[in-house]
Amino acid sequence: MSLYVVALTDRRLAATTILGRRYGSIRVGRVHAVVQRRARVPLRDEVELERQFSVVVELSARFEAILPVRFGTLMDRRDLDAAIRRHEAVILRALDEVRGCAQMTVRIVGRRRSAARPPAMSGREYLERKRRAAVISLPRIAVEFLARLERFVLTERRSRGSGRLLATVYHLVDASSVDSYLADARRHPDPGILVTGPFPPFAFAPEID
Amino acid sequence: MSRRRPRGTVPKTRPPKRQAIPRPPRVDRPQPPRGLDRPPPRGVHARPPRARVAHIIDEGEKSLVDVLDSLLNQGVVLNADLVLALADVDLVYVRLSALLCAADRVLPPGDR
Repeated sequence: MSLYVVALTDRRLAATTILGRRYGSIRVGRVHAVVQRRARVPLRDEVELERQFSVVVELSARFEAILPVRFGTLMDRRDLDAAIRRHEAVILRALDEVRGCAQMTVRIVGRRRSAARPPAMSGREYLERKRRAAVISLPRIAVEFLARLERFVLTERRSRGSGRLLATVYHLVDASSVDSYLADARRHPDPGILVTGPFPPFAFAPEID
Repeated sequence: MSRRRPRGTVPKTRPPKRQAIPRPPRVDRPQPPRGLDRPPPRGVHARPPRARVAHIIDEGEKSLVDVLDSLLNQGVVLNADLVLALADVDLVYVRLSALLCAADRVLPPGDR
């Protein structure tokens, strides 16, 4: 049997059943990994994904600080120990960052501005153009929308979209500010801006290799 | 002899099946006014205290896109060998295209 890891936290989880499955925690240093014993990764279908999402939501009810783990994380005990020990400090810092917070997700949709074919340019100009293209540029209305929410946001992460999805912006918000955040977002609705949440802080996992 | 504290709480075997306990007869009790906390009924273990984010996350508006994006694109990566098939990333955007079709209906014709 291997360990299927669903979340990391800084407190012990007593053996419990959530949505029909048994979970417990494994302590590695000051980090506790919430795990289920199983032989294989669950099927990567909507039912299992919804289930795991619900499990993480339920775990957020029990822990002030929790870091959800990527779907499909099946490891043996030795590898789990090694992975956590290697990154314990980073994990503990991330837990402190998300403590008592929730994630709001803002998706910005719209038409991409098609760039005209550039004239011949020097290597330096080419690299400068690439650098500018790497910056996620948003429509003015989205920039104004995000600026209004800034006062509620503790940390922000952005990811580039594709097609009509221009970008996804993840906001880490203190639990006490979520209602105000949502009220403000709803005061200025726009069809090109989709706000969902609050969620456990999936997007604020630490970058570890 | 020193007593070692257990490192994990993950059960190795299934717990024994519990015998069904007959429910006591229902008794009508005066309920406290709304807004006050009621104590849990007798015989039921009190739930662990809920974190303050709990009630707001429970009521969060989410879509399948959020579930896919959260679990397949986000979260801590502990296993460096965990490779998600490209199809999974495509799945996120296939779902997103269904979500985004609403934008087609509201964007001005010139922007489509």
